[in-house]
Amino acid sequence: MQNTSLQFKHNTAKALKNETLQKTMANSRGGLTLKRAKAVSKTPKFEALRDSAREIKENVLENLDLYLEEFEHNVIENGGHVHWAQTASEARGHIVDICRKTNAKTVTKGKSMISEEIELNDFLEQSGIKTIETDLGEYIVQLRGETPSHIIAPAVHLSMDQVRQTFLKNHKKLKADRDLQTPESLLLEARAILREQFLKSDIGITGANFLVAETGTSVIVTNEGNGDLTQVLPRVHVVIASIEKIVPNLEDMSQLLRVLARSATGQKMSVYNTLSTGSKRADDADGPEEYHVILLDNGRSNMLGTEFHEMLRCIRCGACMNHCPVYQNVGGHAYGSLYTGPMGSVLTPALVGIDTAKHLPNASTFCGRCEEVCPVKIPLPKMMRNWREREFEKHLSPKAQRRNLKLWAYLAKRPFLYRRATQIASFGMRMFSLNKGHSRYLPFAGQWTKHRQMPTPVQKTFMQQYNKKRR
Amino acid sequence: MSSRDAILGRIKNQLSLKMSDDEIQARVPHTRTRLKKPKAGVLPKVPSTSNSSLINQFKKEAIEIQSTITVCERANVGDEIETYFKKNDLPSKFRMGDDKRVATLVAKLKKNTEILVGVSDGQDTVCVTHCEYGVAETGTLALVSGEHNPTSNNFLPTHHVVLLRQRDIVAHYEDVWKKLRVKYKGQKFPRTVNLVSGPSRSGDIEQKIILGAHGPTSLHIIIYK
Repeated sequence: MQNTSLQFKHNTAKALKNETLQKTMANSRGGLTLKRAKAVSKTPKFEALRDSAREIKENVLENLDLYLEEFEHNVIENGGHVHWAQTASEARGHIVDICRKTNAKTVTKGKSMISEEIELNDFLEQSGIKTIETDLGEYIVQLRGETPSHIIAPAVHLSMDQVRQTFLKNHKKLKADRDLQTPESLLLEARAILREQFLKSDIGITGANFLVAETGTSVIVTNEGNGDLTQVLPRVHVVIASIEKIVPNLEDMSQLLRVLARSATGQKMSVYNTLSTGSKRADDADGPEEYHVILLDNGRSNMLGTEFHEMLRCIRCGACMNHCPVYQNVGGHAYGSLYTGPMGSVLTPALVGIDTAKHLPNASTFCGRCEEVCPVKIPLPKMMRNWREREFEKHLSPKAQRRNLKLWAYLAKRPFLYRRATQIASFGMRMFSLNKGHSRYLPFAGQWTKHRQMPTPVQKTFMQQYNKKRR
Repeated sequence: MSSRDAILGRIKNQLSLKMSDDEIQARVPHTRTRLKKPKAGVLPKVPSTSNSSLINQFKKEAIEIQSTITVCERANVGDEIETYFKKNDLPSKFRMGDDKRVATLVAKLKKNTEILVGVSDGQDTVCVTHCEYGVAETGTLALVSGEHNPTSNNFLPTHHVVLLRQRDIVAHYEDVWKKLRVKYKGQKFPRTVNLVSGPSRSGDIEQKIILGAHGPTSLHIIIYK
């Protein structure tokens, strides 16, 4: 996906005026947060689970190279292949190679953010390989030529009517006057169409929620079962995953599963958690004859040992964006990047550079809800602040902002001047309030007072009253 | 330099920013232990680990996630399957894997039921499979691939009927891993392990949860003694 984060301000203005988007976001807002809260309240040990999950991912990062080697060893032992890719281009190259060697014409895909990150679909189509998304939300978004707007719920920004229009437009072989008034009818139609695709696919490509080093296993987590049909029916199964998806052993994986579904959708477990290890065994009735794992770096190893190291703990649950007041009002597309919301605001600058992504860490009030709900306790606001510091150091922030900060710093270092300035400001605000106790407009703060009333300061400043009392 | 070496090298270099040389070296024995001697972490409490209590918990959890359940004697499994067909207006026909356990349990149905054996081709309405374990913690079934149990049969039918032996119900997922490690010691870990919790569903259309997204619309569990 092409990054357009520099247009964030323009995108958000558009998003706030988009009636359909505002309706669908309002519809979804609160749903997943309530579900998560309910699930957490029913899990007395949830805090302990979060600590455990955090410890596991920290352990993984500190020993990442060792666990990756063990994982690779076990995949090969079980008849699979491992391909290492430093960049998106390398990863695409590996996958197209596998497709060519297999003479693949059609590829089905389970949901994979990594595959979006490397822009796989377009590349495969250009290489003459038909690529079909099978997760319902991803399928809808693919038909519309859009990108997912949420890492768990790709089509959360769409209304049912928009989905209906998309199906009517694209499923041309079906009767034009068929009944698609209910969500059930839409689902049934997608199920039938995609079932056909599952059965004739040459290669199934999935992501991986986890890669278990102990057994050389890739784990996918779905509610639909599309990932399973993608990976078990075709002759070849390709897994594409970033290197930090590793977990040491099956017990550690179980800990992470316990916090993943509860944080994402409020379920105790997603419907299908599937462990795939290597290729079809001699006595297996079905399964892929070839199993390939593409391990992608694409900027992650460079984050280790830096102030953004902790971001690599992310298990892609989406809880942070479900709870973010900014994301919930503008939706995912406004960010102009694949990863959105709080986790996107920290990860995107690391992947594409702060120059391109500078607006994203600024799209936060630091309310801290994201960190509160993160199952692996990533200090997201702190890292957004770190990015803002980097932005400032590189002189990327707007000139006016830098000028005002310089002026404030000049005054703050001279207490007498600072106090005089606040007295003048306080006087000015009392003038603008017209004795009402609040102001509806203040010069230099027009954007803020457009939607809020500013309370008027009391007669004297604190220092004035304090000094008076002291005499 | 291969990409493999470049990535592994870069990881080590970056970690050296935070860790001393000794700490980097000490990782090797530490990871060996974590890989060879896995330890369970935080386990949600279960009321009790007696088999009857685990069965009750399993039932309660499974029903909460829209599975349907019956408990019966071993000899009546065939009857329960027939009852399920009648209740759901289904023709007396199903597919199963080449599983001796299932074959014994459904033996009495051979007379008036069409039973297909092997990998589903996507045309089957009902598939009957035998799972290895049930996990009481969340009403989850653990199904393992093999000649007896094609994974496709767990996902292609509209109705998935799963047979679960009462004493195979365990408290947590960790119990499943312990048992599988013993069972497959010296062999390859099974190709596919499915942890199934209820029928397939999606919330991708206006957040409304609907069953039967791509996998089975119904999951029926027959627990037998």
